[in-house]
Amino acid sequence: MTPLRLLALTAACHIMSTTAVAQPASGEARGLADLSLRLNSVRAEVEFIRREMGRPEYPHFEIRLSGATPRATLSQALTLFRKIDRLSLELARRRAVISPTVPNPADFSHSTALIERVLERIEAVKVALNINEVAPQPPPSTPSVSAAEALQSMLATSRQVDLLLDRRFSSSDVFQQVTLAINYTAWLLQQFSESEQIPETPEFERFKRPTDVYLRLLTCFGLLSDVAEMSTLSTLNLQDPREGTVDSTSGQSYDLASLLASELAYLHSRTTGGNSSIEAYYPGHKLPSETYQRVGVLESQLTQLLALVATSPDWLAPSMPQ
Amino acid sequence: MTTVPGPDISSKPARSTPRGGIRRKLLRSHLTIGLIAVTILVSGFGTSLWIRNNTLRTLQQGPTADDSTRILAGVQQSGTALQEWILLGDPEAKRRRADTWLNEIDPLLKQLVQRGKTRTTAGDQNRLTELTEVLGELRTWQWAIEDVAQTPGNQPARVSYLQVVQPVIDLVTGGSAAMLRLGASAPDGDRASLGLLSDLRHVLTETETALQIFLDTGNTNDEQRYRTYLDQALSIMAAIRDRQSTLTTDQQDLLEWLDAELLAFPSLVDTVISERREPRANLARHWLANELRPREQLTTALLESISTDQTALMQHEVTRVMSLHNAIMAFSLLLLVATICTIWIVSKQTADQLTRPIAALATATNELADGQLTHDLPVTSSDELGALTQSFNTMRAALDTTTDEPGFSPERESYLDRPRRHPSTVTAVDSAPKHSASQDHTDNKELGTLDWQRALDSVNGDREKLKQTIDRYLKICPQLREDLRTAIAEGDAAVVRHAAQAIRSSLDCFGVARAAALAYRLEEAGRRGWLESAAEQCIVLEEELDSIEPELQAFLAS
Repeated sequence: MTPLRLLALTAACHIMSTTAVAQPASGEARGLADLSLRLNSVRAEVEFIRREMGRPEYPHFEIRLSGATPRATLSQALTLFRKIDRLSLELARRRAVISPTVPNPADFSHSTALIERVLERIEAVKVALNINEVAPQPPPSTPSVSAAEALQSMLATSRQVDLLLDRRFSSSDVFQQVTLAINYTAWLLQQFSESEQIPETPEFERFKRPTDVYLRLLTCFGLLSDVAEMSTLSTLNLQDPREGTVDSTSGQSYDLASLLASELAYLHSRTTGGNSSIEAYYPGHKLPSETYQRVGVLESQLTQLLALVATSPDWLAPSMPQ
Repeated sequence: MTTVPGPDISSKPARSTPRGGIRRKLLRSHLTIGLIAVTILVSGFGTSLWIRNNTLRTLQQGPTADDSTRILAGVQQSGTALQEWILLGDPEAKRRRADTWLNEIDPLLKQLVQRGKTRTTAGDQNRLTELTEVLGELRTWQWAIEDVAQTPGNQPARVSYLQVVQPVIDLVTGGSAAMLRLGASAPDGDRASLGLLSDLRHVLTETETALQIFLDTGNTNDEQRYRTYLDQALSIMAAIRDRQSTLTTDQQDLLEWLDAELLAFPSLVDTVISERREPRANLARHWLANELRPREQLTTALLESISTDQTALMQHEVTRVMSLHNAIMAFSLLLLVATICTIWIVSKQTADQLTRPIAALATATNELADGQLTHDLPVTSSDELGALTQSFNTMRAALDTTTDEPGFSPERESYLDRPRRHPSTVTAVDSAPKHSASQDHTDNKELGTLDWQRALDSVNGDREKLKQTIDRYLKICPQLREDLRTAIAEGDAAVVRHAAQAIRSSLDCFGVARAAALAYRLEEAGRRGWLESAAEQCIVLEEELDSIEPELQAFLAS
């Protein structure tokens, strides 16, 4: 960690500690505050880099979130790390040797640790871009930050980073995450003997756009939320008020698909005999229509899962800390 | 005369004849036999049903074993199709794998599970559940392997190479080419530097080739070749850097950029090499070996276990049914013999019960006819035969009462006084009158005297009719006596009986008791064929007849 970064973090920690004295917080709230602090730094640095690179600013958006868990923030932190890592590779020719793993159960400290690694990547990028200044840190907007706000911040930063990349996150990357989600759902369906783990692939539809993929992924998210609700689990609820009105990018779909895969991975970890060998793989170049088709498989799986869970809501293993 | 006391019929109330006794016995007898037959039939029917159920169960185990074998074949087929897809990327193999699951494994598994529902052992159910789960996992893994096999992502190291290393190589190669162009176009360009740049391009190409070969083979020697070329490239780059002052400004800028790229290059390649060294370097093969094969083995073991168990169970059932069948055959034979014996015993007992009283009555009737029955027959049942026996006893008692009455006919008294049952006794009695006749002539005369009053009573006091009867007797009597003598001489019992009977009939009318009794004896002797003393009896009878004949002549003449 560079001296500049250390200085910035020290200053931030000072502000945080004064807040903590004024208002004693629980372990989780403290972890969330740490995370929020580092996310602010990341946002500021990314903005600084964007301006340095002369790339467009991602339009502000307000995605509706509820039920954000440490698991969801960790998942999105991982997505942010992947994007920053790609930026680091493009600009600094440095990439992470070992990909971060997702611990289970997760807490906010895991997300914070991952964001630290994001900051390291950003430092490398700044070095490659010959940026020596520390980005000005925005003041904390509220005395306490919620998990939903932290997640929203990560999503916004992630989308901005996508615009900095030469090789942006494409339909292929979305396809990769969706395939991962399909594999997790197949294992979830395995819990029901009468299920069809891998449903028939829907018809290929031409001329699909990333927006179509995004909307279908939102549908899948809705189905997953219903499944979680029936299983009396807390899970992330996500609604995009722009739904269908603004074109979405594959990068946004990637964020959503990653969250989806993460939530499904969590459900999968709650089942008996959960398989840890499931991993994502690069599928090669994929058109949005191909990705749309693959999300159709996931949608079919989730619809089936919802129907099966409705018949036996106690299908998961006994409760564990989330 | 002594008689066995008989039932007093005058004092007995009139009895109604029992009805249904014999019918009931006959019905019971037939029903018993019928019941035995029905029992045998029901036993046979039940046994047949039992064997049928066992056979059906055995037949069910056959298809189960067959299903297991076919599922196993389907799993192997799908595995082969997957291998073809991995190796050749043939879409036909992909379609064949999907069809195998859709048309063979899935329906057979459903069938197997359906049949399994009828099994009661927890072990079978557990194995079927485990099989369903493992087949589901197998299918999911097959799909995942099929999905990854023909994608670049199947080899993560190659993806990293293409996404991370290849752009750097392209940049370095392109940068060196640009430097060469710049050097060639400069009039005072350093020829040695140009030679080094050319060498760098060549070595970079060799480095790239060695790296690609290593990615294909994973061979350490190929990696070593790559490292050798990389060292050469770095050496050449160091040499170019040493000659930096001879380069143009543009070339120097490019060199700085190339140097930075080339410096980053080894670390980027190292990540690719480490990915290539991992067991997951080929995801399809890795999953095939580590995820699919164990599940295939487990599936095979489960299916073979189910198949073997079902076959063994089927063999056991067949053996059980066969031994049962043998036991049933033996039992049936035993039952048949027992049935025959039972039916024979029951029938015999029933027949005896029914015929014994009838036979006793027949014997008693004969004895009564012979005048030998002096006691009542025991009444052993309350059915029709009992009633018949009772009636017979009453009849016998009535006959006894009649013989005890005054005025009973001499021949009946003679009959009652006759020796019974044996011819020797009869002979002894027969000799008695002869002896008595010689000793007491007065008595004989008295006996030979006609009872005219009785004779007239027999014709209702009509003397003319009596004369006609006497006249007819006197005309046929010589012939009858002749026939009697001749028949006795020739031993013709029938003629003796007939002749004696004819004479007795007439004498009965005339009230000549002695002569009528003698004629009756001869008649009985003829009936029984006992003619040993008939000649003597005939002489006595003829003496009697001779003695009454004058008296008859006198009455006729009056």
